[in-house]
Amino acid sequence: MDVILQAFGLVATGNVFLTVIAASMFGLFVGAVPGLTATMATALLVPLTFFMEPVAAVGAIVACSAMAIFAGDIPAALLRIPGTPASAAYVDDTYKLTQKGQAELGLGACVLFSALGGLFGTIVLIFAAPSLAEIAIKFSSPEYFWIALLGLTCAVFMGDSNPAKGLLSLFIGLTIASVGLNNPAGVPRLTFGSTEMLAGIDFIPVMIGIFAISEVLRTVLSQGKAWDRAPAAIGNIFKDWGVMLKTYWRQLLRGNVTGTIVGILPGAGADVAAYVSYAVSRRFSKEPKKYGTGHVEGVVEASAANNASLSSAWVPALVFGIPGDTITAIVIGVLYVKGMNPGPTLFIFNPQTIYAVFLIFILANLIMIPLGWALIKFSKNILRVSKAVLMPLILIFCIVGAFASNNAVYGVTIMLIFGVVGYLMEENGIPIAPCVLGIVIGPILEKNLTTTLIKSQGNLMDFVNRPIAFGIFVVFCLIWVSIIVSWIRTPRQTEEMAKREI
Amino acid sequence: MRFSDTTIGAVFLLAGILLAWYSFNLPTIPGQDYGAATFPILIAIGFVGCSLRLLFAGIRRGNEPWIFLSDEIKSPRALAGVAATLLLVLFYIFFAQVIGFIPTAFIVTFAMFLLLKVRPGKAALLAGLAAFACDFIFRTMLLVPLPFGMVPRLPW
Repeated sequence: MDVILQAFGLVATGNVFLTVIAASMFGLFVGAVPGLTATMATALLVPLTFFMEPVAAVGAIVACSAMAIFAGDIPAALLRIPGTPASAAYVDDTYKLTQKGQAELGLGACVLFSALGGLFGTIVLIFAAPSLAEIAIKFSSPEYFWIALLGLTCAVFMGDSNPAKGLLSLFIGLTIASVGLNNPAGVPRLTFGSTEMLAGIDFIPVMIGIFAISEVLRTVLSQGKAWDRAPAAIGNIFKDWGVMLKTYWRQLLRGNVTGTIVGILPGAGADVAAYVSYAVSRRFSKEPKKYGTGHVEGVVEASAANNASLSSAWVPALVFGIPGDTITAIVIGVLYVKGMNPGPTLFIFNPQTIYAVFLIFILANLIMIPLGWALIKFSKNILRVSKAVLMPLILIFCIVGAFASNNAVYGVTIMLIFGVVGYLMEENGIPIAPCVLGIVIGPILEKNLTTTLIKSQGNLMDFVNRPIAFGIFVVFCLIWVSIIVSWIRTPRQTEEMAKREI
Repeated sequence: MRFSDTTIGAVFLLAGILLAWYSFNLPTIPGQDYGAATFPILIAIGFVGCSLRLLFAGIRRGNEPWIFLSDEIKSPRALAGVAATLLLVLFYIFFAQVIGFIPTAFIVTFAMFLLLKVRPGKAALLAGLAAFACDFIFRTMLLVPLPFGMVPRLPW
């Protein structure tokens, strides 16, 4: 108790408060700009943290990353341009809610469930960090391989379209992920002699192209027709909170748990958490047909999951110094600079500092609500601007965002190519989400597949002869059996219904 | 622009075969059976499987045109608009380094405004504002090295 009081003392200073609020506003801004990610926001903060006290420095990063992940939802809902990759999973739902005049429902869900997800992840971090990290550290390449494969299975649940087209989209994503030098053998692949492609195809410009540029192209083609339907006002975002909490508490809980688990595993971050939990939500929903058409259920689960994963990614980072995602990789560096060396000793030698960081987690997720509300109020003005004025501005913003991803014009080229690809895919009923999922999970899958194959000299039994790997394998098989059964059943049911109608 | 299932199937079947052929020629890790080629070959198998499924569905459905053109595509004005948008991004790609960010951004945004029928006066004003705002936000605040080109360094 003494330690917690000391921690309160460390947090309750004007200095820390001001830093947290300033970092939150910075995070909201960076997260809302397409092309700039939560990771980039954190990286930009690092030079500033050199001049701060340890608690303020780590607090600034905590607040900034939590806000950035939430803020990505705002341009996604208003313009169908996800601000961060983690918002891409449910962009269709939030955008269509805005188009239907229910922006307050979608954005309200994003604010509330992001904050609740973040709080849940924090609670897990506070109470279970050492024991959970103990399990996560037992994972080796076969376990990660099965987890990645489970993640890819989500592609099947994501869209309503033809399964063959969904899988095709997934394979396109995996192909994009395998471009470049970054493979277990270190051989340049699919680079066509380009030096820039050796580094692979960066995810950010692909996402900007596939979502935003394809939207610009569609506007130019339709000459701005579809826009007028979207009502310009956003109502009270707090209005539906009670109903949503009552209706979707199961989704909230499931999203929290999924997000926390994905976050704890090193290598997978908020984007994977959002995709996986969106797919899980659709699989267990009573109304899966409504997903992607402006249905808030998936948004609830996925936005809770991506913020939960953000907090739980700190579990392996604090306990072992192993980053759970790219943000915590930066955090570990800052912790060392500030003399808070990650590891079990952190909890023994200066527990008050670490508890102060936990308190900031709670604080950051609480101030997300008022700050998020203010940002939504401010950015709703975008809806008043006509599409003819907005689209050129979006185009230039996208160009700069794609450029900023690796400070080279190569990013803009990638953005342009994927803008056209994204447009063609949507026109042809090939869903985009599995492709993005493939790009995110592809490298994790390949690394663990090849490593396991090399370790075992090609013996496939090695994929399942460890207890945790075998457990995940069984879950994987059960899921696929249920998918195949549902595929066989659906055409039969349709046939029977057709017969009955006759 | 919509392609029939048969066309999509045929295109990706070809892509899958090409990917497999390319992967077989990748160098191996000395002394190992698995390496850079393993994963792409599995992807290629996936491509072939999915495209065969699409081809089968397409052929079973009978005579479909290979490509459907929507009304929007048939309008020359709309098509010219899309071509112009793509050319504007290409213009940025090739000229931003030489001319500098602010003039290139101005030209791209201004041309887009005119394309979407915004009045020229308003378009010029907004394009100017957008170029300077982007420069301030990204170069000054977020330290993105946007190219200067011919433009002298701005005081902020």
